[in-house]
Amino acid sequence: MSATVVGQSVPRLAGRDLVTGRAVYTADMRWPGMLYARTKRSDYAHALIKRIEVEEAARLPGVAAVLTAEDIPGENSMGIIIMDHQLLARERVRYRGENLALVVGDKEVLDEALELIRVEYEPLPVVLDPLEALAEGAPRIHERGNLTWECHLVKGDVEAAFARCDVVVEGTYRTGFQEHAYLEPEAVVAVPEAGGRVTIYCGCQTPFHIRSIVARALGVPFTSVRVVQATTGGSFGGKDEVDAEMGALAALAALRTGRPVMINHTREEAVMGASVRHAAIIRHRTGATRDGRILARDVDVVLDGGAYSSLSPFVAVKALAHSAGPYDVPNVRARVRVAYTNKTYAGACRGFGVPQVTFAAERQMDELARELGMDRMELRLKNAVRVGSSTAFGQVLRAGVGLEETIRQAAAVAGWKERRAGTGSGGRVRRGIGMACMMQGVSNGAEGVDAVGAFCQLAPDGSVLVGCGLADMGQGANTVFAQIASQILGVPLERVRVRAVDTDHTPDSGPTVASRATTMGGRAVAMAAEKARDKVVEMAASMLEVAPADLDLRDGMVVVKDAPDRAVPLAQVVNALYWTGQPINFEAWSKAPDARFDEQTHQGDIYVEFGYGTHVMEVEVDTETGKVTILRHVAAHDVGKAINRQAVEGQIEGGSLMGIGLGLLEEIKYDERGNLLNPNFTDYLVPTSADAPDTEPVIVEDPGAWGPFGAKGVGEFPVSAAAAALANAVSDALGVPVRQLPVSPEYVLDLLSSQGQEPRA
Amino acid sequence: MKAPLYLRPRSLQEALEALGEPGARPLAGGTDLVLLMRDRLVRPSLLVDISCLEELRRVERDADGLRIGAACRLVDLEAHPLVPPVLRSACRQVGTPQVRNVATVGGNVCNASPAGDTIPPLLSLDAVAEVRSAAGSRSVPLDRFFLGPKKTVLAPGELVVEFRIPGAALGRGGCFQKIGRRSEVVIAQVNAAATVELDERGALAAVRVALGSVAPTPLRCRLAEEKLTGRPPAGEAVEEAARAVLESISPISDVRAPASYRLRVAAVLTRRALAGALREVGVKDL
Amino acid sequence: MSGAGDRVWLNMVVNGRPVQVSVRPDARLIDVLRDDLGLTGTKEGCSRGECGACTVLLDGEAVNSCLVLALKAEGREVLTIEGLARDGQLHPLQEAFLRHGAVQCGYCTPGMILAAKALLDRHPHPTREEIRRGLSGNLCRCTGYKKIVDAVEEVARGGVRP
Repeated sequence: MSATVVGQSVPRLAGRDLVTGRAVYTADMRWPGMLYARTKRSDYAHALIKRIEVEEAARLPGVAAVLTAEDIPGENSMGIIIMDHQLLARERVRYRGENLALVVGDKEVLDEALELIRVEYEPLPVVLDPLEALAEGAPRIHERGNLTWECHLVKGDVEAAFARCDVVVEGTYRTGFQEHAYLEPEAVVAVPEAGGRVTIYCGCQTPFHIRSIVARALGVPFTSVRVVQATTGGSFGGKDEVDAEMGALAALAALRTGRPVMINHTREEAVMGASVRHAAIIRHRTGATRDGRILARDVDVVLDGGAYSSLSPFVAVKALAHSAGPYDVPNVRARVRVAYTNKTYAGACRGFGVPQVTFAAERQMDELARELGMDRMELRLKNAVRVGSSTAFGQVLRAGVGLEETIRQAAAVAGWKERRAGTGSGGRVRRGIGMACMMQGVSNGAEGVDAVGAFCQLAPDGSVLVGCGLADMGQGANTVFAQIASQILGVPLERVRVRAVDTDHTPDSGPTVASRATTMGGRAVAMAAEKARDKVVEMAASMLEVAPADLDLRDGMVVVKDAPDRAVPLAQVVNALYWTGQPINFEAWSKAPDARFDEQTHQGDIYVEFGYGTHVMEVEVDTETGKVTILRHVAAHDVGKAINRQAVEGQIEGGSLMGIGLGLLEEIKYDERGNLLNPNFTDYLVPTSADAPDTEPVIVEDPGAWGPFGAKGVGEFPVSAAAAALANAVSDALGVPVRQLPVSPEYVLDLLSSQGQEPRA
Repeated sequence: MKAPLYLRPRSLQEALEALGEPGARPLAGGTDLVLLMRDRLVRPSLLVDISCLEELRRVERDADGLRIGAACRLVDLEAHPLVPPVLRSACRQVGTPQVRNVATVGGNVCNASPAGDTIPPLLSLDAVAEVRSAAGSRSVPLDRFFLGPKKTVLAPGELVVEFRIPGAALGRGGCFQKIGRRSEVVIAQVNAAATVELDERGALAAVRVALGSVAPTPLRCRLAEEKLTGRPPAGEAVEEAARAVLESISPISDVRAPASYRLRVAAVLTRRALAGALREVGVKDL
Repeated sequence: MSGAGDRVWLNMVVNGRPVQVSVRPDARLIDVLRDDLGLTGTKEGCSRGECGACTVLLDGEAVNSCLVLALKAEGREVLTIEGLARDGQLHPLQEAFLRHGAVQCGYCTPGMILAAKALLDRHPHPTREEIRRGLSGNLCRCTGYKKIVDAVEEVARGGVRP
């Protein structure tokens, strides 16, 4: 292996299509005879449906069909563990904006047709607060009650440990609903095919899950449905359940009308009719010795899961596992409960429960440091996990634990020691600096089996096609896969192509989630490429009459290591394989060790790999208006191995800004009747280029044992550390603990006046 | 649904006659109207595109003061040398660069959003809306133009053709202040404009304080203006004015800000706007 | 132009080529570009002029094609992302976006590049802050903007633009 494609900054594989407007996203697809569809959405957050009248809408010229729950031939449900989510509401709606009926027809008539659908409701009491939802006697949102999920973690003896602590800090922390806000609103096209099959095209990250939900709804075998991933305009965990729902409805309409049907969400629908990040209420207590050794953490989390369970059970477990932060804490007790409320459902969102609990844990670190009179970085270094440490869930970390290095490097780049002087004092504008650390388990972990299939096809001209079951939704996974194959096969990158995910052709590898694409998918691609390489080397050895071990692959040639003039083009070797009837397609299956843990205490080996990070942020706070301005942001991440440096930087910079949005700006808001108040980019504000800091990424490479070339993933990790570092920096500036995200200006002013520090007015 | 007709009039007279038709709506930049049509909140039967009328796109200085055509785009005003800086600064802060390339000052005013950014500066400049219809014309001082959120004194068929700023207002120092949740591209939680001049004794004269997003309409705070008029330009007077503002406003809580925040920030922005306006007339330190 | 029926003729120049298309008077420019002319490089992200994904240049100025009625383009020049590269030669901004990793999912990219072009055409040498403000009408959720600003800054410094 002499090529050095891995580790380089390589432009996106399909980048030229993206910058020229040629890339085809779902909404760009045009099929002959294609119809459009849109759903009628509920006007109430919680109500019984007495009647839905669709006849008038169905009679409108241009309308091909109007479908309600009665028209679903198969299962009218979706979910991951709990199938509680209706595709079209049947008897009851549980959030404002829930689907009631689907209008299918010409694009121009849909809005008018929707207005002609009459719905009679019997309103029910609305439950919006997760704590109220869990209280005795609360109105029931589901028959199974309002507790979506509950899980516990027990390590050591927390009460005994607290009794030995010199210092204990405690606080309650809150975070809000965050919208994914990918720029491409969800869209699907369902195309009826011969033999009763249907093909779904959509931007997505969980194609096999979508296939199963669509097939169940249609009442057909899974293999009658084909899901093809279109160019995907961002996902961040979001294009999952909602695409299953839209896919099922579009497929239903396509089979009913015999024509291709597109459903393309408006931005409003993308906010109100698709999952969001769980809001959280976290009570966190930390106890330590006088010299700063943390002995115990006790964490109680309530997540607001909205109206349906979606991925709540898994988010709960991930939050549980990470609730004590990236520290070696001998005694931990944690509980996570998810409550149903009459709001848009919460699901997967970049970070998957970790940003919320990291915010609480990292605020506690600063509050503890303050009590102890200790430097915040020193406290973190003292307790940081290292090789040999045991996590809160009792997994001993064996290798590649780069947290300490991220702390040291982030602090060095940001000038922690110098810049922390003189913060928090002063006049109208106060400066503050904050640090936050994170760790996150990579891949599925406690969520079940973790395996990825990949293939590598050699073509007779020496070009290569690879693919696996994991999706590139904008993060650049395909480029990484190509780099890995290019490196292993010694084929120039421009001669490697990557196949998009297609349930007919790529192996079911589970969802593209949990920062697993590079670590899991990349490993599988590497294995398939290595199989191909072995076969090529075997054939070339016989052609060149040398031992296989003497051969090297580079620049599209198979070369004798010690005699570079003796070489044979890869194309020639592949031809030889082909004409001797040998395989030139290679498949590989990479399966991670199963998670083994106790379901009651969540103690065991859960994750195959971990990512670590430390952010330092400097802010300025205007004490008159409460406005926070970010002055500097350094984000250090241990990614094991950066296969594509530029792409890793892009993940750190982009993930950080999502964390900054969570920390500073973004929150979905409801009125007391459960109406979503900001389902648009006018009032749901994500950071613009004018708000974004020039995040300085620092890449630490402490290789992991599992992923290709030691890679450990990165996609989700920056979110949690950025949000927590921001909260810590603002707390430092104000001298008052921030305990809620986003840190809105009104909250800053409230904090100041609670301390009698408000300057004037 | 039936599509509206579209008219590109060749003259103001033709536009006014067309606007007399029932269901007719003037279309300038369209950045608000297109949204209203998309959301099916208005369904005009005739769109009269006034953006092409040259007489509505002029900025002219005359003996009485400054005339700003209602169809002037925000992007043109934000850099126009004749336009007072207090208004230019507000034009620069409306929406996105793309929106400012099409949106007009007349549209921003006639949309009558309580948060419209160009309105407090125009109020602080004693602007008068020149209103025309097929039947005649009238002049409406801008502080009597707004009736409530999205409501103005305009009758069907009436069109604002220009804003007149009296010459006396053009020499004042002025400053626009805005606060929103984001630094750019944001609807104001509160905005404020102040203009001032100093009389021959160095006392404050012709003080104007106008705020937006703190009441059903943008408004002038006369109480605050009175607190300042005739007094020396000092911090104490400005403080009093800032407090007086709070008595004139009645902010609500909405998705953009709680009322309590608007109250607190209204005072801050008033102070900052006054300080900025005073800096323009040479008062550096309060 | 005034129309008597449901649809009227619109004449404009798109990417250098004159086109005539029959449109509803309330059609937005984005709909005509995408649905009637098949120029789907222009993306719809929010339909409210907040995200900038639908940015096109109208007589050289950046506008949100979701907020502009198509008939406003009568007799004018529209440039969409499809018209930026000439004879297969990418525009320097397109090259710079690729080289700097300023593209992730790509959905904001066409609008972002056109907004950047309009900015540089007007201010050939903006500061980093001016670039950030100048692109504030174009949201990106993937990159954190830094690499986008880097790309535009490089083109501005290079000063080589057709």
